[in-house]
Amino acid sequence: MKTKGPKPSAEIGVEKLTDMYGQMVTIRLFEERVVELYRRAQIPGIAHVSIGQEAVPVGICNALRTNDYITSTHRGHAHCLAKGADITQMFAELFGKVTGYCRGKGGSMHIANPATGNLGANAIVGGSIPIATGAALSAKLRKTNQVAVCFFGDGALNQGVLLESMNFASIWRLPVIYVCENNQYGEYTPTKRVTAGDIEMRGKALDIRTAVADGMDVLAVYDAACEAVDHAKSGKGPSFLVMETYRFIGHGMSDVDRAYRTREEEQEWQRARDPIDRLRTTLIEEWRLKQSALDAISSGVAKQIDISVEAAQKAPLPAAEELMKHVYAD
Amino acid sequence: MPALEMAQDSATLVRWTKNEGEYVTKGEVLMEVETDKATIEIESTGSGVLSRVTAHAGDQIPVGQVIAVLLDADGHSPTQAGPVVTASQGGSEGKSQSPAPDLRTNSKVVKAPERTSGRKLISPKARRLASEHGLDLSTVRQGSGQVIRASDISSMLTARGGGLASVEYAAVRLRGKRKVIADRTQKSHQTAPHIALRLSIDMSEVQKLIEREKTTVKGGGNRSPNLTSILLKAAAVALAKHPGLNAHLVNDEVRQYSCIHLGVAVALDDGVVVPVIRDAGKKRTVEIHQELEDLVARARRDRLKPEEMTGSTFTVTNLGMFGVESFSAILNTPEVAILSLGCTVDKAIKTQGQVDFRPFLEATINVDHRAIDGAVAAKYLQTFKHVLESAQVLL
Amino acid sequence: MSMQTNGREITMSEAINEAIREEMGRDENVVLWGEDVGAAGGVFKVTKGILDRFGPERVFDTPISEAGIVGLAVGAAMTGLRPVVEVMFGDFLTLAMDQLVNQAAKIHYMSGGTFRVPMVVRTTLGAGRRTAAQHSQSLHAWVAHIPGLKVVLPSSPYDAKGLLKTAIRDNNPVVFFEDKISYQRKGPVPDPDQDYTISFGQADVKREGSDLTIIATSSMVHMALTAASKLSEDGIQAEVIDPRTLVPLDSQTLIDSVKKTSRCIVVDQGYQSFGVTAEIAALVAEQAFYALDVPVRRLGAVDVPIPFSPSLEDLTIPTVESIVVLAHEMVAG
Repeated sequence: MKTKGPKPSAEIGVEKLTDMYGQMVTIRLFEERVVELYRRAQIPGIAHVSIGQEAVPVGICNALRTNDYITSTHRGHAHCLAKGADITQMFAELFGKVTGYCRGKGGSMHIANPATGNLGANAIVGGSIPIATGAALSAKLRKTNQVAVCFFGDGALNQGVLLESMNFASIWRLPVIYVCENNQYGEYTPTKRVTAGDIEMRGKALDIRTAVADGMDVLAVYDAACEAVDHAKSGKGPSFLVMETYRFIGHGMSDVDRAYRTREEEQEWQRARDPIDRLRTTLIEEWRLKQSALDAISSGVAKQIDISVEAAQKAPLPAAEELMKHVYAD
Repeated sequence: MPALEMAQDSATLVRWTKNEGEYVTKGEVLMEVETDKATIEIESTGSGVLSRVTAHAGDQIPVGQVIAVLLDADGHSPTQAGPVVTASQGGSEGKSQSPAPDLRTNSKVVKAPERTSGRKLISPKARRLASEHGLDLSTVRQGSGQVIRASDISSMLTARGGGLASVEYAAVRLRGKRKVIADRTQKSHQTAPHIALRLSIDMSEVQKLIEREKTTVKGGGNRSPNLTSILLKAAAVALAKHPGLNAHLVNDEVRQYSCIHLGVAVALDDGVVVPVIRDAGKKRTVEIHQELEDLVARARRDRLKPEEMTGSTFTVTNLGMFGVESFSAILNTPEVAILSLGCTVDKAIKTQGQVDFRPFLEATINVDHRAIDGAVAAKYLQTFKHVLESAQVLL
Repeated sequence: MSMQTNGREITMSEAINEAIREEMGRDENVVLWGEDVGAAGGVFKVTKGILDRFGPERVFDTPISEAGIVGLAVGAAMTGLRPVVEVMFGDFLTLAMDQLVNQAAKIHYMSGGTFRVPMVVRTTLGAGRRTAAQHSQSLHAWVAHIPGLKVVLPSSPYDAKGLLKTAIRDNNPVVFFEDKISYQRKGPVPDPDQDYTISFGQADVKREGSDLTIIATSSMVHMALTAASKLSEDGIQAEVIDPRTLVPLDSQTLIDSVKKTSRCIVVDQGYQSFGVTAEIAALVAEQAFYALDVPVRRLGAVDVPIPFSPSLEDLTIPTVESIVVLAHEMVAG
């Protein structure tokens, strides 16, 4: 890619950087609380968390406007939060409460929120890819200058619908950004073992602008996102971004022994590449922020999460009348 | 207890048609209830085993009160439209499995009683018809096929109408309309001291009027008055002059009405219904004709609404079409009078020393002597006769 | 219900074309895409001339890519458009099934009512064109099984136009099945200036009768009507009812008819097992049981992959003769 002038991240001031730091901390603490609540049997069903992967949603969504679209995945809490979701409503949905984003009908894997352009998390691997592409088509036809970001994992690379959608996006030059969060494992299986060839080539083969970024560096992600957004908004069409990242814990709540990978590998990523530590270091070393100021952010977020969890726990469950509502729209 | 009418606050349970513990299918008659207007069969709105019966025959019960529940095989109340959570279905928060509300039809599995072996195969419709007519299914012979069908029941009913061997009889239980008629006529006959008065009316002028209207009114049919409508009109005109007969007797109180709502007895195959022509006093004869025609047609198809069969203040019954010359009817209580009309018959009369033949109709008025004396009834009949013989005010 | 038609008769194909044009003219958010729907006017020529009329901004030819065709429609519908997309053969719905069943049908509910998916998937059903097992199926029962989708099966040009206009204005995903064999069937349709629609969930009594109810869908309605004429010559008066929409289903009209006639045949071109005929027969048995004098009978496609050879294919779907024979059997008791 040609780079014109300084990288977008170089123009970010300390205020925005601190804000992005706070967003990543929010996701981390939110997800840690989800695990804890899940273990205490307060969250029904299944849940997938993004601990370790915070830089991708935060880096991408900070390059977007509120009315730009995203679609998300089964591992979607982070995307929803980064795009501006309210923590209390998130927890309420996870608890299955009627005050949740989906009135308790969606749960962890289906949080959607029109107000923040979130077209919905999706529990079918690859299922949201054509939806994001269709939203981009819609934006183009309605001439709204919106972009659509499609988050998906490396597991979706081998779903046929990705090829179909990227083909549509390429032939029609749609303002869509395909963000592949390669966290190295599709559920319990190493990506490399089930994915042929070079991942980048999948975008290039379809004549789609393709970039690879360090998904553990929020600023690198942000730069890649800004370039892709510019590309889309200037009418040049889609981008395919491959983000190398890593989930620090298991695929889901029942994946505790993680026999498919070594503890050493996990420790290596956590010690050397934790995206929150990385930005923290930058803020302290380059921007001279105090440890205590950053700790205050964390404790503020923790307090907010306490308040949200309590409010969500107190909220009512959906009444039986809710069951047949919203099967069809009026 | 279902509410059947506006502003009704209670009803009396006449009887259950199913026993506690018996399986009831949606649409089957479950009970008979009586409101102040009518006795009505209530169909079950759901299926299940009739349980927790708290109401007994004769009880007067506020509408909306639970008087029994239908349970499915698991002992739960089958859900109807909308979610119903009963005490038995509670559960701790987060784990409770509310029953699914009705999704088009009640999809809950309810175990129906098993068919005992060796029984004849009978179509559902045939079984229903037999039950409605009180036919004992063991006496029904199927036609050509293996299964008793509706047509077999019809043949059986026809045969029964034609007279079976004297030793045999078909037991027909009084129910539905028949039961209502039985109860009402009995009550009327036992409580109201009936007196009957009769006189003959010269129908010459009426006949001329009908002929004249028939030829002058274009279109014919129900656009010109017929005999029945003229008789009803005359009854109403006479009532306006003798309002004492346009009344109900309720608990030692005579309620005299200003509006004349004429009940008109209509014979059906399975009984009599009395649809009501409201405000007959204010209607033109031809309007009465048209309205009656519609009511009768719908009565024959069992399509009258309950409100079309209630609220009469005076009843007219006519068996002239069967060649009956005169008869005396049972009062439609709480009404205090009923007018019975026969056919028109040519009779010889002596006028100015000559024998002349004129068409005559016999009218009989029955009144409740508690409220109406003979002379009052006689005056009414006189007016009725005068109105018809002068053939005025009849259009 | 029927409007003045001035004697104008057009084909089902033309009626559908008119409905799309009128709705595109009425609402600029209505867009059209599918394989060959643009310049070629569709393989059945149903969308002929629409590209010329509305231009390439609203009418696109797509790759052969059913999941994408339907999936893009879902995303576009969620964000303000009303896509009308074509899946060339009903058999190809299988390729788009995730987008239809897991996405389109569920998004409104799953999002707690916050997103709507107003889209129409036009596709086909029906055998009889000697196109063998992968171009002849009638898979409408598959989608009728899924809450959140509406399913429409027009049998006449008049119904097709009125129902498609309703479908395009509906705020839900609608799957609109056209019988290929009916595209050239003509029927009275009001002039284009008469903006009529037909509400969903209203069955149409195509012929009244007292002895037998024939509930038939799509082109089976014509089989049923022909059978009813023949039966009438034998003194059997059959009532023919077309549900027109399977979801929502006007069960009341069906039940009322069976209560009147006490006999019921259900005719549909989908597979008989676990299909539309089974569903309707069950409904009748549940709600009109005490009116039935003979068991409800079903006539669906025989449970085989539709064979190619005409001599075999003709054995697979219900015929006028099969309806007549069954009706006689039922009336004779």
